[in-house]
Amino acid sequence: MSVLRTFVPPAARVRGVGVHIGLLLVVGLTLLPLAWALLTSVTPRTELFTPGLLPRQPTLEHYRAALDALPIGQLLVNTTLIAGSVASIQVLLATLGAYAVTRFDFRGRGLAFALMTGSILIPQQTLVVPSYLLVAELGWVNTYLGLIVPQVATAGVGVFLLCQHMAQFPRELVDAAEMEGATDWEILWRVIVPNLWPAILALEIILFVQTWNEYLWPLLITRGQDVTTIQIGLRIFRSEQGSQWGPLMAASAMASAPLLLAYAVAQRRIVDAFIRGGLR
Amino acid sequence: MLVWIYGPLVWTVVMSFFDWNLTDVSPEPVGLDNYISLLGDRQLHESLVVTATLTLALLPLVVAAPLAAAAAVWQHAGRWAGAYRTLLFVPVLVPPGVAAVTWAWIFHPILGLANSFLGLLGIPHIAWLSMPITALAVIVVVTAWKVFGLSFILFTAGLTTIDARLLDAARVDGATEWEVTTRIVLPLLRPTTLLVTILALVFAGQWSFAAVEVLTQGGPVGATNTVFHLLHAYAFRFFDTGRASALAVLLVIVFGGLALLQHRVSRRAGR
Repeated sequence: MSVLRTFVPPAARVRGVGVHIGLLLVVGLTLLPLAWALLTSVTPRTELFTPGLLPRQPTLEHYRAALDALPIGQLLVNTTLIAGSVASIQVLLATLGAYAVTRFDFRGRGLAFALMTGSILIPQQTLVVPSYLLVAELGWVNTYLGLIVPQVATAGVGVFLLCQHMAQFPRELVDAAEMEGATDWEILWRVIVPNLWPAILALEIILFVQTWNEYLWPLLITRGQDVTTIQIGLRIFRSEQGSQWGPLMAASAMASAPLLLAYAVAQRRIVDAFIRGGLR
Repeated sequence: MLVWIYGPLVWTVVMSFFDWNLTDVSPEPVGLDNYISLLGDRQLHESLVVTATLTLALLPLVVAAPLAAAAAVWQHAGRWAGAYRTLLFVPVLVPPGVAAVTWAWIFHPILGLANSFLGLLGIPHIAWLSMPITALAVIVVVTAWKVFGLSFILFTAGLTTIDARLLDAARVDGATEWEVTTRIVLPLLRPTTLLVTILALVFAGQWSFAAVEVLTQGGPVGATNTVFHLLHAYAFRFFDTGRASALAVLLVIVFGGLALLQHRVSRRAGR
């Protein structure tokens, strides 16, 4: 902050207030659906049909109903496991892939890079039909394998991101390690990976959130409530006849809680990850 | 990766030349028939219009508005900047299916918050999801809500590369805040703006998928049937694999081309 900022003319102060009002309005709109879902989730069923913002007799009945109807704990564990494995395997593959194309000069290197990163260009929805048929052929419908393996394949973003970091990696460090007789494998794990740790962690975070939020693929590939992810599980509270709004909102709150809690703890790290990943 | 990305891609291209309904009856080769009937399909024409409308409606909400908010936070929020950034980013972490159902509750025709609010103003209730225009508007709102935070953070990242002393110098020279914003901040942010705009053009249809699937299923009368939802319906509601594949091939060409453009642009932006 510069010294010039200490003097604030009155006009600027008024403008400052206006800016804050505008921003608070945007923040209000941002948090509104979540706040409203939370309020609804503690409003007794009988009060849902009467006007009024705050529940007169807050209740946890919807949480009980939601937990009875849906194995929410199990679904959260599923979602975490799936997101964790997809993100970790992708990070591993991306690390190896990026190392291969940045360190070694082999025939077809350009092609390998193009093939790996080219997958970024293909909209996911266009591949689901054949992917689905392939998964069905393998007997992987409604299994963790069917959920995880095809999602791992979209490692293009990771390869691209890590390639940029590895290409800029100080040559001297690698040369020094080579002089001391380190193998290529050792150079990767002892020299490059420890130094690129922030970038790798950022990638892991982005991919974890992305997979946690993936909607289409679990919707197609799972049946029933056993191996599916939390947001697909929520669908049982909705039907043609109407939705059970109380339990649905309670379940939504529980579905959003883990990532938001993680965010409360590590917000800087998470935002930072998205900044790195978004500006590729 | 070869198996799960390029295998399916090749398979999609092959299937687009066959007529097959996912049953045991073997696929019939039909040449270009899928493409020809697809191009003559009114549903596709309508869904293209829907996708274009949705994308255009989203642009101000996921490019201009986050840009304005990010610039406002950066220039004026002072010590509150961190708090604003933290809160505005929250929707990025909410699963789209969850976001869609909470919005479904807000736009509930009888009990929804949106109609209660209109009631206070003396406006009669609206059946949001039953009318083409309002249904599309709801999809736009829900999608924008989810994406706003991401654009906001990208703009914030772009802004941090700008040297604040530059702005102070301009202020000392007598530039108004408005001039500082339009003459210095916006031009310096142009690479980020371009990147976010292209991201929005490429991904608008994909971002809205969960909202469409949960809230409207493409209806009423196709008013929210984006090309991606149409593709999904061809494949998994009508089991017309050939036509779905033909549409998929066309989408790969169009959106892949756009994404390639983004690639080029962001590389030229020097990152």
